[in-house]
Amino acid sequence: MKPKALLGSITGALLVGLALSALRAADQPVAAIGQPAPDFSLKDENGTSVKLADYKGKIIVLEWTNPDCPFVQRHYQWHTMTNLASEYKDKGVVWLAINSNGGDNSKADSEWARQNHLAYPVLDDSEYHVAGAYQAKSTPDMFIINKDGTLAYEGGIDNDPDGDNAHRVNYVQKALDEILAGKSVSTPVTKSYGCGVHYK
Amino acid sequence: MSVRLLIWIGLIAAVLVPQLGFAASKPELVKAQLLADTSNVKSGTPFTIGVLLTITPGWHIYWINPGDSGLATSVSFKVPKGFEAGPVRFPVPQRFDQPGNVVNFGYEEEVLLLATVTPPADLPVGQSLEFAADVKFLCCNQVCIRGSTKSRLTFETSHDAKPANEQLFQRWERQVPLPKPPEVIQSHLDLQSDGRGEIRVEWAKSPTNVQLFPGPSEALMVSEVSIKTTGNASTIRFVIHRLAGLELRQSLYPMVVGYADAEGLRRGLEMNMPVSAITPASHQ
Repeated sequence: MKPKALLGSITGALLVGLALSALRAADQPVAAIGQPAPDFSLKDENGTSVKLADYKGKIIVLEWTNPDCPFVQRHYQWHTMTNLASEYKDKGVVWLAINSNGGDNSKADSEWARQNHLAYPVLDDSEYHVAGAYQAKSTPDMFIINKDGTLAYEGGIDNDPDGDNAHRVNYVQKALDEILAGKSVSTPVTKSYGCGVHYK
Repeated sequence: MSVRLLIWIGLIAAVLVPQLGFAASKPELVKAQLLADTSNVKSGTPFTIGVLLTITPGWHIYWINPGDSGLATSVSFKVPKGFEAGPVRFPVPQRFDQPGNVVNFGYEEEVLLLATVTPPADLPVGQSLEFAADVKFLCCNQVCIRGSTKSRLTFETSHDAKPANEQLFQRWERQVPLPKPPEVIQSHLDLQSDGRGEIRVEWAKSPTNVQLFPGPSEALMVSEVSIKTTGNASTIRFVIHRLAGLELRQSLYPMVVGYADAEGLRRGLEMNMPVSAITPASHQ
Protein backbone atom coordinates (compact mmCIF):
# COMPACT_ATOMS: atom_id res chain seq x y z
CA MET A 1 0.00 0.00 0.00
CA LYS A 2 1.32 3.46 -0.86
CA PRO A 3 2.36 5.60 2.20
CA LYS A 4 -0.41 8.16 1.60
CA ALA A 5 -3.05 5.46 1.36
CA LEU A 6 -1.65 3.75 4.48
CA LEU A 7 -1.76 7.02 6.41
CA GLY A 8 -5.29 7.57 5.19
CA SER A 9 -6.30 4.10 6.37
CA ILE A 10 -4.73 4.56 9.79
CA THR A 11 -6.39 7.96 10.21
CA GLY A 12 -9.68 6.49 9.06
CA ALA A 13 -9.38 3.61 11.54
CA LEU A 14 -8.53 6.00 14.38
CA LEU A 15 -11.49 8.22 13.57
CA VAL A 16 -13.85 5.22 13.44
CA GLY A 17 -12.41 4.00 16.74
CA LEU A 18 -12.93 7.40 18.35
CA ALA A 19 -16.45 7.63 16.98
CA LEU A 20 -17.33 4.16 18.28
CA SER A 21 -15.99 4.90 21.74
CA ALA A 22 -17.90 8.19 21.78
CA LEU A 23 -21.13 6.30 21.08
CA ARG A 24 -20.77 4.37 24.32
CA ALA A 25 -21.01 6.25 27.61
CA ALA A 26 -17.52 6.63 29.06
CA ASP A 27 -16.38 3.55 31.02
CA GLN A 28 -19.81 2.01 30.86
CA PRO A 29 -20.07 -1.60 29.70
CA VAL A 30 -23.20 -2.36 27.69
CA ALA A 31 -25.02 -5.62 28.31
CA ALA A 32 -25.34 -8.10 25.45
CA ILE A 33 -26.55 -11.70 25.27
CA GLY A 34 -23.68 -14.12 25.89
CA GLN A 35 -21.45 -11.34 27.25
CA PRO A 36 -20.55 -10.73 30.93
CA ALA A 37 -23.37 -8.84 32.65
CA PRO A 38 -22.23 -5.40 33.85
CA ASP A 39 -21.42 -5.34 37.56
CA PHE A 40 -23.08 -2.78 39.82
CA SER A 41 -23.51 -1.72 43.43
CA LEU A 42 -26.81 -0.10 44.49
CA LYS A 43 -28.59 0.62 47.77
CA ASP A 44 -31.82 -1.18 48.57
CA GLU A 45 -34.94 0.42 50.13
CA ASN A 46 -33.35 0.14 53.60
CA GLY A 47 -30.11 1.79 52.52
CA THR A 48 -28.20 -1.50 52.47
CA SER A 49 -25.61 -1.84 49.71
CA VAL A 50 -26.23 -4.69 47.24
CA LYS A 51 -23.57 -5.73 44.75
CA LEU A 52 -24.20 -7.98 41.75
CA ALA A 53 -20.81 -9.59 42.49
CA ASP A 54 -22.25 -10.79 45.87
CA TYR A 55 -24.25 -13.34 43.86
CA LYS A 56 -21.45 -14.68 41.69
CA GLY A 57 -22.21 -18.21 40.52
CA LYS A 58 -25.98 -17.83 40.92
CA ILE A 59 -28.76 -17.35 38.38
CA ILE A 60 -29.95 -13.76 38.87
CA VAL A 61 -33.13 -12.08 37.65
CA LEU A 62 -33.12 -8.28 37.37
CA GLU A 63 -36.59 -6.73 37.29
CA TRP A 64 -36.86 -3.07 36.35
CA THR A 65 -39.84 -1.73 38.27
CA ASN A 66 -41.79 1.43 39.09
CA PRO A 67 -44.62 1.41 41.68
CA ASP A 68 -46.41 4.18 39.73
CA CYS A 69 -46.56 2.28 36.44
CA PRO A 70 -49.94 0.65 35.60
CA PHE A 71 -48.21 -2.34 33.93
CA VAL A 72 -46.14 -3.00 37.09
CA GLN A 73 -49.24 -2.51 39.24
CA ARG A 74 -51.20 -5.06 37.21
CA HIS A 75 -48.39 -7.65 37.54
CA TYR A 76 -48.16 -7.08 41.26
CA GLN A 77 -51.93 -7.44 41.61
CA TRP A 78 -51.57 -10.74 39.75
CA HIS A 79 -48.42 -11.69 41.77
CA THR A 80 -46.58 -12.41 38.50
CA MET A 81 -43.14 -11.39 39.81
CA THR A 82 -43.58 -12.31 43.45
CA ASN A 83 -44.83 -15.83 42.64
CA LEU A 84 -42.03 -16.41 40.17
CA ALA A 85 -39.39 -15.07 42.59
CA SER A 86 -40.71 -17.27 45.35
CA GLU A 87 -40.99 -20.44 43.24
CA TYR A 88 -37.50 -20.10 41.78
CA LYS A 89 -35.85 -18.98 45.03
CA ASP A 90 -36.13 -22.62 46.08
CA LYS A 91 -34.21 -23.51 42.91
CA GLY A 92 -31.41 -21.06 43.80
CA VAL A 93 -32.47 -18.09 41.67
CA VAL A 94 -31.78 -14.61 43.06
CA TRP A 95 -34.33 -11.85 42.31
CA LEU A 96 -33.42 -8.16 42.39
CA ALA A 97 -35.89 -5.36 41.61
CA ILE A 98 -34.44 -2.05 40.36
CA ASN A 99 -36.13 1.36 40.27
CA SER A 100 -34.42 3.80 37.87
CA ASN A 101 -36.88 6.67 38.26
CA GLY A 102 -35.24 10.01 38.96
CA GLY A 103 -35.51 11.68 42.36
CA ASP A 104 -35.74 10.12 45.81
CA ASN A 105 -37.39 6.72 45.49
CA SER A 106 -36.51 5.34 48.93
CA LYS A 107 -39.86 6.10 50.58
CA ALA A 108 -41.91 4.86 47.60
CA ASP A 109 -39.73 1.74 47.32
CA SER A 110 -40.03 0.93 51.07
CA GLU A 111 -43.77 1.35 50.94
CA TRP A 112 -43.96 -0.80 47.79
CA ALA A 113 -41.83 -3.52 49.39
CA ARG A 114 -43.99 -3.44 52.52
CA GLN A 115 -47.34 -3.48 50.67
CA ASN A 116 -46.30 -6.37 48.48
CA HIS A 117 -44.46 -8.30 51.22
CA LEU A 118 -41.43 -8.44 48.96
CA ALA A 119 -38.85 -11.10 49.72
CA TYR A 120 -36.39 -9.37 47.40
CA PRO A 121 -34.79 -5.91 47.56
CA VAL A 122 -35.81 -2.86 45.52
CA LEU A 123 -32.57 -1.20 44.44
CA ASP A 124 -32.32 2.55 43.87
CA ASP A 125 -30.87 3.41 40.47
CA SER A 126 -32.22 6.98 40.33
CA GLU A 127 -29.01 8.12 38.58
CA TYR A 128 -29.91 5.68 35.78
CA HIS A 129 -26.35 4.22 35.67
CA VAL A 130 -27.40 0.55 35.82
CA ALA A 131 -30.40 1.05 33.50
CA GLY A 132 -27.97 2.65 31.05
CA ALA A 133 -25.49 -0.25 31.29
CA TYR A 134 -28.25 -2.80 30.66
CA GLN A 135 -30.18 -0.56 28.23
CA ALA A 136 -33.33 -1.15 30.25
CA LYS A 137 -36.10 0.81 28.53
CA SER A 138 -39.38 0.15 30.27
CA THR A 139 -41.00 -1.02 33.47
CA PRO A 140 -41.22 -3.92 33.65
CA ASP A 141 -38.02 -4.90 31.78
CA MET A 142 -36.39 -8.23 32.67
CA PHE A 143 -32.82 -9.55 32.50
CA ILE A 144 -31.51 -12.99 33.47
CA ILE A 145 -27.85 -13.54 34.30
CA ASN A 146 -26.56 -17.08 34.06
CA LYS A 147 -24.35 -18.82 36.64
CA ASP A 148 -21.27 -17.98 34.57
CA GLY A 149 -22.09 -14.27 34.83
CA THR A 150 -23.18 -13.83 31.21
CA LEU A 151 -26.48 -12.31 30.12
CA ALA A 152 -28.90 -15.07 29.09
CA TYR A 153 -32.19 -13.17 28.62
CA GLU A 154 -33.37 -9.62 28.11
CA GLY A 155 -36.86 -8.36 27.35
CA GLY A 156 -40.43 -8.49 28.50
CA ILE A 157 -41.86 -10.49 31.37
CA ASP A 158 -44.29 -11.97 28.84
CA ASN A 159 -46.02 -11.40 25.49
CA ASP A 160 -49.11 -9.82 27.04
CA PRO A 161 -49.02 -6.01 27.27
CA ASP A 162 -52.82 -5.75 27.40
CA GLY A 163 -53.23 -8.41 30.04
CA ASP A 164 -55.70 -10.39 27.96
CA ASN A 165 -53.62 -12.72 25.82
CA ALA A 166 -55.20 -16.19 25.81
CA HIS A 167 -51.80 -17.55 24.70
CA ARG A 168 -49.69 -15.80 27.29
CA VAL A 169 -46.07 -16.93 27.51
CA ASN A 170 -44.00 -15.91 30.53
CA TYR A 171 -40.60 -15.53 28.85
CA VAL A 172 -38.73 -15.26 32.16
CA GLN A 173 -40.18 -18.52 33.47
CA LYS A 174 -39.46 -20.23 30.15
CA ALA A 175 -35.82 -19.03 30.18
CA LEU A 176 -35.30 -19.99 33.85
CA ASP A 177 -36.62 -23.51 33.18
CA GLU A 178 -34.27 -23.91 30.23
CA ILE A 179 -31.25 -22.60 32.18
CA LEU A 180 -32.03 -24.90 35.14
CA ALA A 181 -32.31 -27.85 32.74
CA GLY A 182 -28.88 -27.03 31.33
CA LYS A 183 -30.31 -26.01 27.95
CA SER A 184 -29.61 -22.82 26.03
CA VAL A 185 -32.32 -20.16 26.18
CA SER A 186 -34.52 -20.57 23.08
CA THR A 187 -35.91 -17.01 23.25
CA PRO A 188 -33.02 -14.89 24.58
CA VAL A 189 -34.38 -11.51 23.43
CA THR A 190 -37.94 -10.20 23.35
CA LYS A 191 -39.40 -6.73 23.26
CA SER A 192 -40.43 -5.36 26.61
CA TYR A 193 -43.54 -3.25 27.13
CA GLY A 194 -44.55 -0.81 29.86
CA CYS A 195 -43.84 2.72 31.04
CA GLY A 196 -40.58 4.53 30.24
CA VAL A 197 -37.83 3.45 32.63
CA HIS A 198 -36.54 6.82 33.84
CA TYR A 199 -38.63 9.84 34.66
CA LYS A 200 -36.80 12.76 36.19
CA MET B 1 -80.65 31.39 62.63
CA SER B 2 -78.19 31.63 65.51
CA VAL B 3 -74.46 31.89 64.86
CA ARG B 4 -73.85 28.72 66.87
CA LEU B 5 -76.28 26.77 64.68
CA LEU B 6 -74.62 28.11 61.55
CA ILE B 7 -71.22 26.98 62.83
CA TRP B 8 -72.58 23.51 63.52
CA ILE B 9 -74.11 23.28 60.05
CA GLY B 10 -70.78 24.41 58.57
CA LEU B 11 -68.82 21.79 60.53
CA ILE B 12 -71.20 18.99 59.60
CA ALA B 13 -71.13 20.03 55.94
CA ALA B 14 -67.31 20.09 55.96
CA VAL B 15 -67.30 16.46 57.09
CA LEU B 16 -70.19 15.22 54.94
CA VAL B 17 -69.63 17.02 51.63
CA PRO B 18 -66.40 15.22 50.66
CA GLN B 19 -68.06 11.88 51.54
CA LEU B 20 -70.85 12.69 49.11
CA GLY B 21 -68.26 12.93 46.29
CA PHE B 22 -68.58 16.58 45.45
CA ALA B 23 -64.84 16.82 44.81
CA ALA B 24 -64.07 18.06 41.29
CA SER B 25 -63.69 15.14 38.82
CA LYS B 26 -60.36 14.69 37.00
CA PRO B 27 -60.41 16.12 33.48
CA GLU B 28 -60.24 13.45 30.75
CA LEU B 29 -56.71 13.03 29.45
CA VAL B 30 -57.94 12.00 26.00
CA LYS B 31 -61.26 13.15 24.55
CA ALA B 32 -62.72 11.37 21.52
CA GLN B 33 -65.14 12.59 18.89
CA LEU B 34 -66.40 10.42 16.04
CA LEU B 35 -66.72 12.27 12.74
CA ALA B 36 -67.18 11.51 9.04
CA ASP B 37 -66.29 13.28 5.80
CA THR B 38 -69.90 13.10 4.67
CA SER B 39 -73.11 14.58 6.04
CA ASN B 40 -75.25 11.60 5.00
CA VAL B 41 -74.79 7.98 3.99
CA LYS B 42 -75.57 7.06 0.39
CA SER B 43 -76.07 3.50 -0.86
CA GLY B 44 -72.86 1.92 -2.12
CA THR B 45 -70.83 5.15 -1.76
CA PRO B 46 -67.76 4.72 0.44
CA PHE B 47 -66.88 7.48 2.87
CA THR B 48 -64.26 8.06 5.55
CA ILE B 49 -64.93 7.83 9.23
CA GLY B 50 -62.48 9.16 11.80
CA VAL B 51 -62.11 9.33 15.55
CA LEU B 52 -60.58 12.67 16.56
CA LEU B 53 -58.52 12.28 19.72
CA THR B 54 -57.72 15.45 21.64
CA ILE B 55 -54.87 14.87 24.09
CA THR B 56 -54.17 17.04 27.15
CA PRO B 57 -51.07 19.20 26.50
CA GLY B 58 -47.88 17.65 27.84
CA TRP B 59 -49.23 14.10 27.44
CA HIS B 60 -48.95 11.71 24.50
CA ILE B 61 -50.43 8.47 23.21
CA TYR B 62 -48.74 5.87 21.02
CA TRP B 63 -48.48 4.73 17.40
CA ILE B 64 -48.97 1.10 16.26
CA ASN B 65 -45.33 0.56 17.17
CA PRO B 66 -45.01 2.52 20.43
CA GLY B 67 -41.19 2.26 20.46
CA ASP B 68 -39.06 1.33 23.46
CA SER B 69 -41.96 1.54 25.91
CA GLY B 70 -45.66 2.41 25.87
CA LEU B 71 -48.62 0.62 24.35
CA ALA B 72 -50.11 0.85 20.85
CA THR B 73 -53.38 2.76 20.58
CA SER B 74 -56.13 0.45 19.36
CA VAL B 75 -59.29 1.50 17.55
CA SER B 76 -62.32 -0.56 16.73
CA PHE B 77 -64.92 1.03 14.48
CA LYS B 78 -68.40 -0.40 14.91
CA VAL B 79 -70.59 -0.15 11.81
CA PRO B 80 -74.21 -1.20 11.16
CA LYS B 81 -75.05 -4.57 9.59
CA GLY B 82 -74.21 -4.73 5.89
CA PHE B 83 -71.51 -2.06 6.16
CA GLU B 84 -67.81 -2.79 5.88
CA ALA B 85 -65.09 -0.89 7.68
CA GLY B 86 -61.59 -1.10 6.19
CA PRO B 87 -58.37 -1.22 8.21
CA VAL B 88 -57.60 1.73 10.51
CA ARG B 89 -55.21 4.28 8.99
CA PHE B 90 -52.73 5.81 11.41
CA PRO B 91 -51.12 9.12 10.41
CA VAL B 92 -47.33 9.26 10.51
CA PRO B 93 -46.34 9.59 14.18
CA GLN B 94 -43.96 11.93 15.96
CA ARG B 95 -40.81 10.76 17.63
CA PHE B 96 -40.47 11.40 21.37
CA ASP B 97 -37.01 11.18 22.89
CA GLN B 98 -37.64 10.42 26.55
CA PRO B 99 -35.25 10.47 29.52
CA GLY B 100 -33.14 7.34 29.81
CA ASN B 101 -32.54 7.04 26.03
CA VAL B 102 -36.09 5.81 25.60
CA VAL B 103 -37.47 6.46 22.10
CA ASN B 104 -41.21 6.41 21.52
CA PHE B 105 -43.49 6.98 18.53
CA GLY B 106 -46.89 8.54 18.99
CA TYR B 107 -49.07 11.58 19.00
CA GLU B 108 -49.57 14.66 21.09
CA GLU B 109 -52.30 17.35 21.08
CA GLU B 110 -54.49 15.86 18.39
CA VAL B 111 -54.78 12.98 15.94
CA LEU B 112 -57.51 11.68 13.63
CA LEU B 113 -57.52 7.90 13.17
CA LEU B 114 -59.30 7.01 9.94
CA ALA B 115 -61.04 4.17 8.11
CA THR B 116 -62.99 3.78 4.89
CA VAL B 117 -66.55 2.63 5.32
CA THR B 118 -68.45 1.02 2.43
CA PRO B 119 -72.24 1.03 2.74
CA PRO B 120 -74.32 -1.76 1.17
CA ALA B 121 -75.84 -1.09 -2.26
CA ASP B 122 -79.48 -1.22 -1.21
CA LEU B 123 -79.93 1.16 1.69
CA PRO B 124 -83.40 2.61 2.15
CA VAL B 125 -83.46 6.41 2.33
CA GLY B 126 -84.33 8.19 5.55
CA GLN B 127 -82.93 5.53 7.87
CA SER B 128 -81.02 6.52 10.97
CA LEU B 129 -77.74 4.64 11.43
CA GLU B 130 -75.37 4.53 14.37
CA PHE B 131 -71.59 4.19 14.16
CA ALA B 132 -69.23 3.89 17.09
CA ALA B 133 -65.49 3.96 17.82
CA ASP B 134 -63.92 2.18 20.78
CA VAL B 135 -60.42 3.43 21.48
CA LYS B 136 -58.00 1.96 24.02
CA PHE B 137 -54.84 3.87 24.79
CA LEU B 138 -51.95 4.47 27.15
CA CYS B 139 -51.43 8.16 27.88
CA CYS B 140 -48.12 9.21 29.38
CA ASN B 141 -46.44 12.26 30.82
CA GLN B 142 -44.32 11.75 33.93
CA VAL B 143 -46.61 8.82 34.68
CA CYS B 144 -48.65 6.58 32.41
CA ILE B 145 -52.39 6.06 32.61
CA ARG B 146 -54.40 3.50 30.69
CA GLY B 147 -57.74 4.64 29.33
CA SER B 148 -60.48 4.06 26.84
CA THR B 149 -63.13 6.09 25.09
CA LYS B 150 -66.39 5.26 23.36
CA SER B 151 -67.77 7.72 20.85
CA ARG B 152 -70.85 7.55 18.64
CA LEU B 153 -72.10 9.15 15.47
CA THR B 154 -75.57 8.96 14.02
CA PHE B 155 -76.33 9.57 10.33
CA GLU B 156 -79.28 9.54 8.07
CA THR B 157 -79.28 7.67 4.77
CA SER B 158 -80.02 9.84 1.78
CA HIS B 159 -79.99 10.06 -2.04
CA ASP B 160 -77.24 12.67 -1.78
CA ALA B 161 -74.15 12.67 0.35
CA LYS B 162 -72.65 16.10 0.92
CA PRO B 163 -69.04 16.45 2.08
CA ALA B 164 -68.49 17.39 5.72
CA ASN B 165 -65.39 18.24 7.81
CA GLU B 166 -63.43 18.46 4.53
CA GLN B 167 -60.45 20.42 5.82
CA LEU B 168 -60.03 18.22 8.86
CA PHE B 169 -60.14 14.96 6.92
CA GLN B 170 -57.86 16.26 4.14
CA ARG B 171 -55.28 17.48 6.67
CA TRP B 172 -55.09 14.10 8.40
CA GLU B 173 -55.47 11.90 5.30
CA ARG B 174 -52.37 13.64 3.91
CA GLN B 175 -50.44 12.43 6.95
CA VAL B 176 -51.25 8.75 6.38
CA PRO B 177 -48.13 7.01 4.97
CA LEU B 178 -48.38 5.96 1.31
CA PRO B 179 -46.36 3.56 -0.84
CA LYS B 180 -45.84 6.36 -3.35
CA PRO B 181 -46.41 9.85 -1.91
CA PRO B 182 -46.14 12.73 -4.41
CA GLU B 183 -42.84 14.00 -2.90
CA VAL B 184 -41.04 10.72 -3.72
CA ILE B 185 -39.59 10.18 -7.21
CA GLN B 186 -38.32 6.74 -6.34
CA SER B 187 -37.40 4.61 -3.35
CA HIS B 188 -35.36 1.45 -2.99
CA LEU B 189 -34.87 -1.03 -0.16
CA ASP B 190 -31.77 -3.21 0.14
CA LEU B 191 -31.19 -5.88 2.76
CA GLN B 192 -27.94 -7.80 3.29
CA SER B 193 -27.74 -11.28 4.77
CA ASP B 194 -26.04 -9.87 7.90
CA GLY B 195 -29.13 -7.78 8.69
CA ARG B 196 -27.79 -4.44 7.41
CA GLY B 197 -30.51 -2.61 5.55
CA GLU B 198 -30.67 0.55 3.52
CA ILE B 199 -33.56 2.60 2.19
CA ARG B 200 -32.64 5.11 -0.50
CA VAL B 201 -35.14 7.79 -1.39
CA GLU B 202 -34.97 10.23 -4.27
CA TRP B 203 -37.16 13.24 -3.56
CA ALA B 204 -38.84 15.69 -5.93
CA LYS B 205 -37.77 18.44 -3.52
CA SER B 206 -35.39 18.27 -0.57
CA PRO B 207 -37.49 17.32 2.48
CA THR B 208 -36.86 18.21 6.10
CA ASN B 209 -36.87 16.15 9.25
CA VAL B 210 -36.55 12.68 7.71
CA GLN B 211 -37.16 9.99 10.34
CA LEU B 212 -37.58 6.23 10.37
CA PHE B 213 -40.55 4.57 12.07
CA PRO B 214 -40.21 0.77 12.06
CA GLY B 215 -43.57 -1.00 12.01
CA PRO B 216 -44.87 -3.26 14.78
CA SER B 217 -43.56 -6.80 15.17
CA GLU B 218 -43.00 -8.97 18.21
CA ALA B 219 -40.37 -10.98 16.40
CA LEU B 220 -38.32 -8.36 14.53
CA MET B 221 -35.88 -5.90 16.08
CA VAL B 222 -34.62 -2.78 14.27
CA SER B 223 -31.54 -1.00 15.60
CA GLU B 224 -28.57 1.21 14.65
CA VAL B 225 -30.64 3.62 12.60
CA SER B 226 -28.74 6.39 10.81
CA ILE B 227 -30.20 8.89 8.35
CA LYS B 228 -28.38 11.13 5.92
CA THR B 229 -30.02 13.57 3.50
CA THR B 230 -27.92 15.31 0.88
CA GLY B 231 -29.79 17.50 -1.57
CA ASN B 232 -32.69 15.51 -3.00
CA ALA B 233 -31.56 12.09 -1.76
CA SER B 234 -31.84 10.38 1.63
CA THR B 235 -30.07 7.22 2.78
CA ILE B 236 -31.61 5.51 5.78
CA ARG B 237 -29.43 2.73 7.22
CA PHE B 238 -30.50 0.26 9.90
CA VAL B 239 -29.97 -3.25 11.19
CA ILE B 240 -32.89 -5.70 11.36
CA HIS B 241 -32.93 -9.16 12.87
CA ARG B 242 -35.37 -11.92 13.67
CA LEU B 243 -35.64 -12.72 17.36
CA ALA B 244 -35.17 -16.43 18.08
CA GLY B 245 -38.02 -18.53 19.37
CA LEU B 246 -40.74 -16.07 18.33
CA GLU B 247 -43.37 -16.66 15.68
CA LEU B 248 -43.31 -14.36 12.68
CA ARG B 249 -46.95 -13.80 11.81
CA GLN B 250 -46.48 -11.54 8.84
CA SER B 251 -45.05 -12.00 5.35
CA LEU B 252 -44.30 -8.30 4.90
CA TYR B 253 -42.77 -5.93 7.44
CA PRO B 254 -43.68 -2.24 7.05
CA MET B 255 -41.35 0.66 7.78
CA VAL B 256 -42.41 4.28 7.48
CA VAL B 257 -40.06 7.04 6.40
CA GLY B 258 -41.55 10.18 7.92
CA TYR B 259 -40.69 13.62 6.54
CA ALA B 260 -42.00 17.18 6.35
CA ASP B 261 -43.22 18.40 2.97
CA ALA B 262 -42.73 21.88 1.48
CA GLU B 263 -45.52 23.25 3.71
CA GLY B 264 -43.97 21.69 6.81
CA LEU B 265 -46.76 19.13 7.09
CA ARG B 266 -45.73 15.64 8.16
CA ARG B 267 -46.09 12.90 5.55
CA GLY B 268 -44.93 9.31 5.24
CA LEU B 269 -43.47 6.86 2.74
CA GLU B 270 -44.43 3.29 3.47
CA MET B 271 -41.86 0.61 2.56
CA ASN B 272 -42.63 -3.07 2.88
CA MET B 273 -39.92 -5.67 3.40
CA PRO B 274 -40.44 -9.40 2.76
CA VAL B 275 -39.72 -11.05 6.11
CA SER B 276 -38.22 -14.12 4.44
CA ALA B 277 -35.12 -11.96 3.75
CA ILE B 278 -34.58 -11.14 7.44
CA THR B 279 -31.96 -13.21 9.27
CA PRO B 280 -31.51 -14.08 12.96
CA ALA B 281 -29.11 -12.06 15.14
CA SER B 282 -25.51 -13.26 15.39
CA HIS B 283 -25.65 -14.36 19.07
CA GLN B 284 -28.33 -16.89 18.16
